[in-house]
Amino acid sequence: MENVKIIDILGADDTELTRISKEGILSLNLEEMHAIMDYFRKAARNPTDVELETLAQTWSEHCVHKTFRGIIEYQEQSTVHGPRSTEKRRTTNDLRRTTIIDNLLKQTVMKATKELDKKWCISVFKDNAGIIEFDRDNAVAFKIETHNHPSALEPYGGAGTGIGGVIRDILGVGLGAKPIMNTDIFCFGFPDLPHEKLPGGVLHPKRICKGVVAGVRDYGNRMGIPTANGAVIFDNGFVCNPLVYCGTVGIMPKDKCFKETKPGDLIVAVGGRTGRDGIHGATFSSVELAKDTEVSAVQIGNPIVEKKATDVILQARDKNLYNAITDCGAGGFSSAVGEMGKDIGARVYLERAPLKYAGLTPWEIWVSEAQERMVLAVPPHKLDEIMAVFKAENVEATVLGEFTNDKKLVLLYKGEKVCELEMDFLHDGVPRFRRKAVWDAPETRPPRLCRGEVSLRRGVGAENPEQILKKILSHPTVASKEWIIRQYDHEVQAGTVLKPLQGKENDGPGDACVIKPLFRSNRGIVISNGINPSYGKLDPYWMAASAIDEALRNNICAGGSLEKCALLDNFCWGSPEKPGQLAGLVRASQACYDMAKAYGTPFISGKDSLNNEYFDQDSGKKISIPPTLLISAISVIPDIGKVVSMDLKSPGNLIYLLGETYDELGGSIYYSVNGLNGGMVPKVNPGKAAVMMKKLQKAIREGIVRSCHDCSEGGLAVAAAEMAFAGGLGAEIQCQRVNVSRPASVGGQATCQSLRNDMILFSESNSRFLAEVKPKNRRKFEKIMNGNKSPLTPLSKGGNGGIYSVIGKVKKDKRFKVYGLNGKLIINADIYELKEAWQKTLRW
Amino acid sequence: MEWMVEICYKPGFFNAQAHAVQKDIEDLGISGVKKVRTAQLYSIEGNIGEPELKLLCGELLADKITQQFRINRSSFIVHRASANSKTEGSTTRWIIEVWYKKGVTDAVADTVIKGAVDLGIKGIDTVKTGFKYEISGGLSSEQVERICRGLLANKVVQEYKIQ
Repeated sequence: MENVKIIDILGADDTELTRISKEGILSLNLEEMHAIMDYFRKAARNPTDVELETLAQTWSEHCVHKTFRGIIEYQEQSTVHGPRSTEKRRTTNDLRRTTIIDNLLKQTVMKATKELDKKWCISVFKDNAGIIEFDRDNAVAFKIETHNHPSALEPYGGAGTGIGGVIRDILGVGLGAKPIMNTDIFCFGFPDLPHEKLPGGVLHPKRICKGVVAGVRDYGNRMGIPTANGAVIFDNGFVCNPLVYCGTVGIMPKDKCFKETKPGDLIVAVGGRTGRDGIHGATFSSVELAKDTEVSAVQIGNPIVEKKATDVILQARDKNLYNAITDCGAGGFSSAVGEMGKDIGARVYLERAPLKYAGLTPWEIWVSEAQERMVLAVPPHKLDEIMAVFKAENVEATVLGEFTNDKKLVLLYKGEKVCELEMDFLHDGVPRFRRKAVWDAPETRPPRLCRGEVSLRRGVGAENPEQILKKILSHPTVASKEWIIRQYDHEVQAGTVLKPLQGKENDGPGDACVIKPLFRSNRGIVISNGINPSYGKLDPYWMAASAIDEALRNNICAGGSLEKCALLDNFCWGSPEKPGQLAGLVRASQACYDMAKAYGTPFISGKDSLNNEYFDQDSGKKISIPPTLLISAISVIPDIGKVVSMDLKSPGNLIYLLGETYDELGGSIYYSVNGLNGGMVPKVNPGKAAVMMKKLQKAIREGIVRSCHDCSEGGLAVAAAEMAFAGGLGAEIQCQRVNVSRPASVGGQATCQSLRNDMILFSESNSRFLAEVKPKNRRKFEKIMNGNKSPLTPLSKGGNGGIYSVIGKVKKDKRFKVYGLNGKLIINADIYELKEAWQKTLRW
Repeated sequence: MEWMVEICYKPGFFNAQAHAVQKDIEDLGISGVKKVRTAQLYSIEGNIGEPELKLLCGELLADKITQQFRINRSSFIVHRASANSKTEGSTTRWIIEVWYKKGVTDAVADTVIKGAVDLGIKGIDTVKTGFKYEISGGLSSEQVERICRGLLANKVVQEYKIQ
C-alpha cells in the first residue's frame, strides 16, 4: 500500500507490542494490544496504521471511560465513617471487606437517575449532553466538559477550544440545540506562587489563569453566548495540572431531541477544515503530562467559523434536512463517524476531506481534532437543499461518504482500502479493566487538629476574628472574581435575569445565574455549581456530597426548584491505576448515588478526566491533583419574577440562619489561611437538607425572602459580610443565636468540642443559608419553615428538619458587627474595608 | 512580493495591551521597565501592490481613528534593528517579535485573506500574524529572555526573536 503503513503486530512479542503502543502515542495497554492481535489473527492480516489509530481513539479512556465501566475490587481499611452516612462500619486492617463493583457508572451515578425515573428527564447519558423538559414545546440541554491537558500547555488555545468543543456538544445533541449560556469553572495554583518554586516546563499559575480567561472570553464572546456563571478555585495541587471545566446550556424543540442515522444517509462534514492540529488529543488526555509533551496536541480555535456553522445547522435542523448530527470532538472524524454508524456501518473516502494544507496522511485526516467541525447524516434526496443552506452562509460542507448496512467501518484513500473493521469489535471489543481500589481512611482523629486549634485560640484566631475575616475574604478562592467576570459578555442574547455580579453597585458574588431563554415566556432556568477540592484531600465521599449540596444550595437560594433540578458530574482525578486514587473515585461516586437519591435530583450527563498527573523530573515523582468533583445543577422555574439576589435590601430586616452549624473546619479556608491541615470535613444530611431546601424554596416563591445567600467557603462570617457589602448596608450578627450541633461521634472518638466563636463564624458546615426577611413577615416565614410540625419534632418522626434562628439584623450604618458568645463585640468593621479586602486580591 | 505591515496606536491613545504587559513583567519579578509599546504585525505574501496594500491596511487592518500603519517591503524588521537597540544612559530598548510556528492554525490570518477578497483585493497567497513588543528600561538580555519565555511567547505554538 502506498499511503498507509502496515504495522506488524502478529509477529510481535509483548515488548514489541508495548513499544508500538508507546511510540505511536496510542495509550493502549498490553491487554488491549492482545485483543487487537487476536482480532487481526482471525482476519489473517496485520492492521494498517489507520486501523490501529481508530482503535486507539475509540478505546481511549477519554472516549469509553474504561475505569468507570470496568470492574473494581474495592477494599476499605481502618475505621471509616460511611460511605453511607447512616452506616457506621468498623473494619480493621486484618478484617478487610472487599466489594466487587461491576461498572461503577451504572452502579452509582446512572443508577440514581434510573431509580428516580423523573418524567421530565428526556435524554440521559446517551447523547452528547443531558436533556430535560423546559416547557410544553421545548427542552434544555446541558453539558460540561474538561479541557485540562491542552490548557496546561497553551492556556489561551486550550481554554478557547474547550469552550468551542462544549458548544459543539450542545449543537450536536439530539438534532441540535441552540447554545444560550456558558459556564466556566477553573482550578489553578496560587497566583502568587514564587517563580523559583515552579517546576520545570510548567507555566506559572497566574499566566495560565490569564491565558485561560482570555481564551474563554474571546471564544465565548465571539460566539455571542453569555458566560454568566462560574467559579475559580486556587490550590497549589493544581500548579502542574490546572483544571478547566467548560459548560454550555442549549434550548431545542422537544421533537428534536433524538437522532437516528439511517443506512444510505450521506456523511456530510460541515465547518472548519482538517489540519494536523490536535492529533492524538483523545489518547493524549489519557496520559500524564511531561516536560516535553508533544506540540501537535494543541488545538487553535476559530470562533467565527463555529458561529457560522451554528447558524446554518439550526436552519437546516428546522427544515428537517438531516437524520443525525454529532460534533467532531476527541478523536475527530474517527469518533464522530464511528459513533453515528455504530449500529449500521459506514464507508468514508478520506481524500474528500477538505484540508487546511496538503501533506496529511490518511490516519492524520481520520483522527485530527481540528476544531469547528460537525458531521451530519443527510438523506440523499435532501442533499441539494442542505448544501444550498450552507452555501448561502459561506459555510464549507463536503460529502465524505455514506452510512451502510454491513456493520463495518470501511475507509478508503484514493481508491485504496486503508481500514476495514467490524463495528462490533470497534465499539465492544475493548477488554474490560479489572482494577484494585483500596481506601485507607485519612486520620480524622483530632489530636493534630486540636493542637493547631489550641495555638489558634491562644494566638490570633480567637482574639482577632476581624483580621481573620479579612484574610479569608482576601483568599483568592473567596475573593471577588470581578476582574474575570467583567471580561466575559454575560448579557448577550438579552436573557440574563440574575447576573453573576449583584447588589447595589453590581459587584456582589451571585450564587447562581438565571436565564430567561424565550422571549414570550417567563419560564427560566437556574444554573449553579458546587466544587471543593480541599475536602477531596480529606475524604472524596464527603467532598462529593458537599459539592452536590453546594450546587443545590446555590440553585435554591437564587430561586431554583429542587423538584425539577438535574445534576451533571465531572470527575477530575489522578491515575486510576493507583488503588488509593481509584478508591477515592469509588467513594465519590457512591456519594453521588446517595445524595442524588436523597435529594431527588437525577444526574443527566457527566464526564471524567483521569490521569491528571504530572511527571516531575526534578523529584522523579508523579504528582496527582487533589481529587476534584464538579457538580453542576440546572433547574427549571415557572416565573423568573420570583428570583432573589444575595445582597441585603433594607435596614431593620431580620437575618435568618437556616441549618445547623457543626465543628467542621477540615478543608476550610480558615484552616488554609492559618496553615493547618486535616480536621473534620463537612458532612451532609441530605434528608434534613432536602426538607429545608423545599421550605426555603416555598418562602422564596411567596416573595417573603428579600435576599438569600448560602454559607460555603469561609463559612457564616464570609456569607454575611458578602451580603452586607453587596447591599451597601450594615449588619449585626450574634454568635449566641447560631444553632450549633454536635456531630454524631465519629468512630467513637472524642472530638474537640467546645463552643468557640471561630468555629461558629468559619466552619463550612453544609446545607446552611442566610435569608433576609422583613419583620412583618416573621410569622409567615417561620410558619413555612415549621411546616405543620413543631420545630422540635425529630426528623425520623416526620419533623420538619428546618432548624433556623434569627441571628441578626440589617443595619443602616455601614458597619459589619459580630457579637461573640460572651456578648462582646468581636468584629466591628467598615463594610467598604471588608469589600476592599475581598476585591483587592484579583484586581489584576 | 512580500510585505510587512505594522499596526500600532497613534500617539496619545491608551494601549491597554502594552499596559497589561508592563504589569505582567512586574509580576514576573522583573523591575526597571520604563515603557512598553506593542504593535500587531502582518506578513503578507502574494501578487499585491502598494496601493492595494494601503487600501487593505486603511480599511481592514487598522482602526482609522486610533491606529496607524507602516508598510515595509521585507519580512522581519531587521533593517530597523540598528536604529532601535541603542542604549541611552541605563535605558535599553529591546525589540521582540513573536510569531506562530509553522503549521499552527492562524485564525486571524485566514480572516484577513477573506476580508481582502471582500474588499476586491485579489492575489494574496499567505498571511501570517505576529506581535511586536518594544520594551525600554534597564534590562539585561537574560531578563528579556525570561520575559519572552514567561510572558510574551508560548514556545508550544510560538517562536520569538529578540533584536
